[in-house]
Amino acid sequence: MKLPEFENHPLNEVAMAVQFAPLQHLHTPRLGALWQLFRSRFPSVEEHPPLEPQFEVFPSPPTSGVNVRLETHPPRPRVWFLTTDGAQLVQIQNDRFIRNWRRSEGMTAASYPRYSKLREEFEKDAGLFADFLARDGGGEPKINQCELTYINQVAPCAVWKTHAEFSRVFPWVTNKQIATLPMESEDGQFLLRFILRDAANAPVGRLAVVVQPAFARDTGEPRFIFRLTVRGAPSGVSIDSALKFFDAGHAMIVKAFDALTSAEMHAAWRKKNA
Amino acid sequence: MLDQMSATAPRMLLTECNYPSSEGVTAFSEASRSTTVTLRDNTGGSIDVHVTGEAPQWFVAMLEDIQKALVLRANWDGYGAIAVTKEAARSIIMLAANLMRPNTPRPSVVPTNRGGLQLEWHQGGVDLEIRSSMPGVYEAFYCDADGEWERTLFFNFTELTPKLAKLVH
Repeated sequence: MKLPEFENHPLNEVAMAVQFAPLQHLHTPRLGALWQLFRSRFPSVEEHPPLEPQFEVFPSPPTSGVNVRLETHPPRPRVWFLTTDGAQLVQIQNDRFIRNWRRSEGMTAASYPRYSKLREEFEKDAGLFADFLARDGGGEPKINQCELTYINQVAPCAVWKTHAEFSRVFPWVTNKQIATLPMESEDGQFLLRFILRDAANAPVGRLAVVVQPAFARDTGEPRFIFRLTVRGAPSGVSIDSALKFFDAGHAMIVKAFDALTSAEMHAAWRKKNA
Repeated sequence: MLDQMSATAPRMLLTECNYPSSEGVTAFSEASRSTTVTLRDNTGGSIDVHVTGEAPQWFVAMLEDIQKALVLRANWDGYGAIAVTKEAARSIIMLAANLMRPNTPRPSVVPTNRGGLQLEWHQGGVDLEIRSSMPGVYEAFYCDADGEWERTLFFNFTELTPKLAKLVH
């Protein structure tokens, strides 16, 4: 079945990430050598704090009121290689490879290269990374989790003007019960999670949907940040397995985007393949 | 709640509303407890374990046992054993935090000769052993009067949870 498309979509960022068992020999000098492979396309470099490992756990941990967070020292560096316009980047640390596309200043919805192109770029750059490690004795990235994230910024239009009108954008949050309260609603934030299963019905990942109110820093205009993330274990440790996970995740994200937003917003975003 | 592995820093276009997450909301009548335990290995590295809420006693005791294992030097068994890695310690702590309940009995913490760690319970006719040497990969062995069970688990503990529950009864 063909997935719906939105000509005037609100997509602002896409991130394709794989996590693997830590590479003990991916030290800073090796990262420098690695940059030489990417430098012609990604001439800028930034350093950022490391990301801690993340795993989707089944069943959900018991809610005992205890929360445990781990931080490893010395921190493993995370480097960003960026294109000149900052719209595309590669992030690397000793247990991550991440490829991002972001909407830059002046870009329109038509600037989004589409999933098939981003998938192609991910395959190419993750392959470069894996080949470098194999040649240089840096180890083999054995992938244990994949994550695909779509971040949308929903701007006000004829359908909605203030954050209180969230149900005009997200109709599953009905205002009927809320309207019985002797107060005026102001805004809201939401988290929905869905379990993804493989052909044998075993849980392999989750789709998390987050809606948060926000304001444009320059104009003060309201926005809804609408973030959809699929994360879980691929069927194998290879890049091919990760790509299959991304394909399935992409379909889930597009279907969820479509199902969780209103027909009025679909019209504003000029939905096709309806 | 959703701790992104991939999302970049937000573009400088937006100011997100500064809401506390539901986990962060503390009623006036509640007392919020937060503890950090630092585990050190013998290479100068460390793991900070930040615990929010009332951690069960077994959790603190388990961290003490992991600390003892983390400072073992290579060849600690006299047969060429690898020193226990921070990754193994992280993996076992994550397992315990995600799987065990306040009334779960305290496990024994045993280093493995491949640089991993193993949690063990032997009580009430039940033997349960779970070992990990790399994040997210667990080898589990269970035995009771009804038979044996052995699996490699990748953060899917659906089959393991009821076996762990048997230790409580």
